[in-house]
Amino acid sequence: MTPATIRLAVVDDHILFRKGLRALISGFPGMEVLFEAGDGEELLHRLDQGDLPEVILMDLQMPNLDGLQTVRLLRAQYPRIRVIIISMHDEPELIESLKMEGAHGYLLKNASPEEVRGAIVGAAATYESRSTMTA
Amino acid sequence: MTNWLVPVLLATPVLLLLALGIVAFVLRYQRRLLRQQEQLRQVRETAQQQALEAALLAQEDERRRIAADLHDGVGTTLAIVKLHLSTLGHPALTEEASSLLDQAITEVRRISRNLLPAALQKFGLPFALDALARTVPADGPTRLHLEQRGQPRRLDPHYELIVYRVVQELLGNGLRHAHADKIDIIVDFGPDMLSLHYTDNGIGFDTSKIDQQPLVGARTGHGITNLRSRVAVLQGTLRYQSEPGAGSQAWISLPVPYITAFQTPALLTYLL
Repeated sequence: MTPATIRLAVVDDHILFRKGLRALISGFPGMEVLFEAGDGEELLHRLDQGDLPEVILMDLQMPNLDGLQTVRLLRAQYPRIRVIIISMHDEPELIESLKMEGAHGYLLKNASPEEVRGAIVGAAATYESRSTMTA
Repeated sequence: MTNWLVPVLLATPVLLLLALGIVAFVLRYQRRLLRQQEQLRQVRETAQQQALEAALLAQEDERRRIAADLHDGVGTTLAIVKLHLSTLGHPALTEEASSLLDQAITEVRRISRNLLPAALQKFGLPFALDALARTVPADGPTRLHLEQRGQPRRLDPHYELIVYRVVQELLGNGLRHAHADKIDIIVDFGPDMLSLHYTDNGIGFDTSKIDQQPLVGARTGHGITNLRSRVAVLQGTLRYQSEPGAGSQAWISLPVPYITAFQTPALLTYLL
């Protein structure tokens, strides 16, 4: 069975950005923010406790465990979870290599609400097809 | 007759010995003086090299700090403001403010990238040089052709930063001052030598005026001083040729193994 709402986690060390993103996402129909985390370590801790979202929106530069390291760990430990990187960096090489490392989407921090929604829906779609395939 | 000859015969060898002694002493003294002068010169050179390195390190450190503050601080705050505007739910009212915020964010990104290119740290020199070349618009007044020859590869990160700065400086000077419509930069990654060759067809400059100001820190208006000190830190050589109205050329060669083999580890860990 595929869930009707897309469950998300927001990971960023800037609390205000996290809250803003959460407020934005809560306004989209069919989406729910499961939890927020301040860095990759906190995220993995929450995941290990069993709080499993379908899509993670994550910053690149974070203390303790940064975005790139977390993407690598997620790919190994939670390959079903879709990861969208949301960052200030717009270098095409960086975006390309993050996708190679296992990120499923890339958003700039000044993306429009439609772009954010589109990226989440796009990533969630690949999650569902993967889960029905493996089911 | 023999009476006065005896002391002369006795005194002559003594005087000779004395003269020889004096000559030997002077020679030894001079040799020591030369050695001391040489030592002093070496100490001065080392001190100058260290001062250069320290100044360069401080500058890069400052740049990194400003870039991070701008990018992660100001940029993120602007993004948060934009996010809050869009959650207000009145797109028609906030559209103009949002696009202004986008402009500000783009500008912050551009400035911080100039200060510290993220591509350089993550993907290395060849990548970053291509990215730098792409920042020059293809339909602008100056066309840039940047070619990488030999075996483009990653070098020591700190070496990469300095080489990147050298190319940035060459390119920046060309774009700002040369009024050229064509700039060519060739970066040749040799086995143990990295060579740069810069050519433009711009207005050129009077090299004798540049040569009159060899002091580090002096403003020459062409950034040659900046170039020279960066090249000096890597113990490379810089040669340039220009004439008013006849374009400019610069050749720089940097010994690649210098940094990896001899550079102090303190410098290496400090810069990145």
